Amino acid sequence: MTNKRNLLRETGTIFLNGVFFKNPVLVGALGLYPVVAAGYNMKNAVELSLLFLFLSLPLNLLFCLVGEMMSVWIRPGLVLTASAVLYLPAAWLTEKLMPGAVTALGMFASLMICNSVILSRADEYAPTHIGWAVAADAVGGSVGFSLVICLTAAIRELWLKGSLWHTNMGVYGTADAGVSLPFFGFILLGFFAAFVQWANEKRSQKAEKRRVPRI
Amino acid sequence: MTLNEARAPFVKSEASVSSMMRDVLFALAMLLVLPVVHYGIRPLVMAGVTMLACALYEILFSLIQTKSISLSDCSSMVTGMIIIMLMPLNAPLWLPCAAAAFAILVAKMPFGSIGHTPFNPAAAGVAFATLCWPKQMFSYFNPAAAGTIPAYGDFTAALAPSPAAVLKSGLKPDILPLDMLWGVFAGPLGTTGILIICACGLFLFAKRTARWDITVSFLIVAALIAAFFPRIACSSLTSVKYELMSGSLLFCSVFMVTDPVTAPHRALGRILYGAFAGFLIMMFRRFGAFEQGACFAVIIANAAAPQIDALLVGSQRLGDEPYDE
Amino acid sequence: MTTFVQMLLTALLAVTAENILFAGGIGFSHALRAGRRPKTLGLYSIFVTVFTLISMVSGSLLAPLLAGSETLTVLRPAILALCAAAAYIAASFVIKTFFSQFYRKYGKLLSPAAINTVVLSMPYVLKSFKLSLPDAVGFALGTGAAFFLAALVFSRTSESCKNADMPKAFSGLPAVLLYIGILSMAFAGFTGGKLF
Repeated sequence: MTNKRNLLRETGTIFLNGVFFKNPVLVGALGLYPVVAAGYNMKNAVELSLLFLFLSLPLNLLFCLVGEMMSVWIRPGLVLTASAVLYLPAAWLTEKLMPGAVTALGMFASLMICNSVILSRADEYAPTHIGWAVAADAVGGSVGFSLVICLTAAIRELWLKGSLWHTNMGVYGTADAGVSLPFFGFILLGFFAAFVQWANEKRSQKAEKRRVPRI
Repeated sequence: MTLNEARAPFVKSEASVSSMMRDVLFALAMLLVLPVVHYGIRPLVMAGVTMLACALYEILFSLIQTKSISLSDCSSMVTGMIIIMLMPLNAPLWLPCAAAAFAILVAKMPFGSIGHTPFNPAAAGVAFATLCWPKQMFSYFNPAAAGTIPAYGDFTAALAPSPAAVLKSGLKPDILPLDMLWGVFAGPLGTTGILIICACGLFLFAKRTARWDITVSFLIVAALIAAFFPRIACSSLTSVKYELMSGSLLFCSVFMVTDPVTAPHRALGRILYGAFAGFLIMMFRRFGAFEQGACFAVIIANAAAPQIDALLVGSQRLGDEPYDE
Repeated sequence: MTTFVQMLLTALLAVTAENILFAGGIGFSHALRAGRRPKTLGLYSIFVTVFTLISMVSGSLLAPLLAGSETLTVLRPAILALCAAAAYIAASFVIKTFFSQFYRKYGKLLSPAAINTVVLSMPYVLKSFKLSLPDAVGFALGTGAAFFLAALVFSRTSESCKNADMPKAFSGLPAVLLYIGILSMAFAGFTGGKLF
């Protein structure tokens, strides 16, 4: 019973780390391209988030099962191969949920195959951890990635067009296409990363205060 | 012996950061005289509003940071003035405020304020405004048909292309190079007063607030490119005159590339840096998307400055890990 | 001679006006990591250049084949990624077998250099910019140079992105991201808009 409770607690921690405290984009500086280049409207953001989840989860679980059987030198190549193969059902599923999504995304969708978050977790984390941890990490990372890209896209779309998901929000969109350029994505990511870093700093200060000194 | 670590700009004991900034402010204020004489108090209003905005943003950031507020070095005022000098007089008042917000809140304060900024904040602010609002940034009113210019609100006036815009389209500007010296032609607020910019430059060099070697190498390279690769069908000398006096090239050579925080620290480094910046600004003029690329060129040159320093010093330093793997 | 000049001009464009890193936002995760290891930066960039070239050339050769059928068009991203994976595995095997000492020292650089968005974006760049083979080769080489320059710039950012006067929240990665954003803004001055 205690073991199950511990496992659940640790799984929860891994999940929350992926979502926020060790967000792969804001703390690990991974997976920047889709956020800065494609995350300029909510539709793109949601489509890429779905594609991320559908690709990341099965890939990580697969390499949790078979990753340790492979030599370290060949594993990155096999991870990319598996990612390429699993991309097809992931793209199909995304297209089923949101018709026309993958076609409209074009290169942005295709390059998710080599997304550094997905590949690094499958190559480095999944082979050396148990299934629950890998699943929690994959889902947490997906949620974390989705939060970042959706928040970035919401701000950019609001500022550019005064709308969210093509629905007028009553806000006057003042900026020209400049905010949809990658540079603005990086600026927003910088501020989000600062917020996460501040939160982590506060958290570690609290943990430090709570620690009971040994006599 | 105690060694005190100082941060840029590195100044001799008789000078201080505040005195340097005051010199630059004074020089920039001189650039406002002619526009005020010709067009009324609007230039003063724009400058005042932008400087106030810069100061308020800096105070706001300091409050959020729960740090003591210090505006005594006047660096935010200088940033505000430089921003306004690169904007048209007919720009709406929110435009320089937006550029100021980016300059202070993104390019200056997060890096630790003055002495640590990797990029010239004013250049970053103007670049941001250019990319987000290019129409407002490059719509200049025709000085000959201006009429009464309101001090505060938006005003519509007959527009005229600036000489920089005309050169970009491969045509010869209507105005003669000699007439450009008097500053009465379409262009950004503080960049048309050619003679005054030159005088300001000499003043800053004499006070050792700005380094002449950067400006000279910058102008020499720009002039050479203009002479050997003219954008219009004219003599080399005419091409040089038009290129140096149009747009914000001359203003940038005196007030922006000479920023002591972002420029290299060694003499040879400064010469290389000035030359590189001059080369960049001419490349932006020729191949860039906008009629003026001074701010973009300054940013790229700022990024190259540490490399130039490292090349001359010959040192390789491994920095601390900036983030978790 | 004309082909060489054409290649050179395209390479120059890849570093400046069509810089896929700064203007396109591609490949920064790896450029940042390359910048953290200045001693191996040169070799890392050479590997990136070689794999970028392989990706571009294979994309150029496969393009008419993949355009032929609708099924292959749908499978295109997967096929291109498989080619990149094959290139990495082949290169690793060859270097591991014939240059084992070199592999032991620098083998860790191969996988990040071969498997990244810069390398895998080449076939899409080829299609987007409609490049001929000499232009494609020039662009690939220029992109390798752009990667090297970007990583070189980032190798020096630790000094300005971590100091005692900056807010703790911005120290490190947040400041680096702002740095990249401002520099990316400068390159956008060439394009004026989106690259892709």
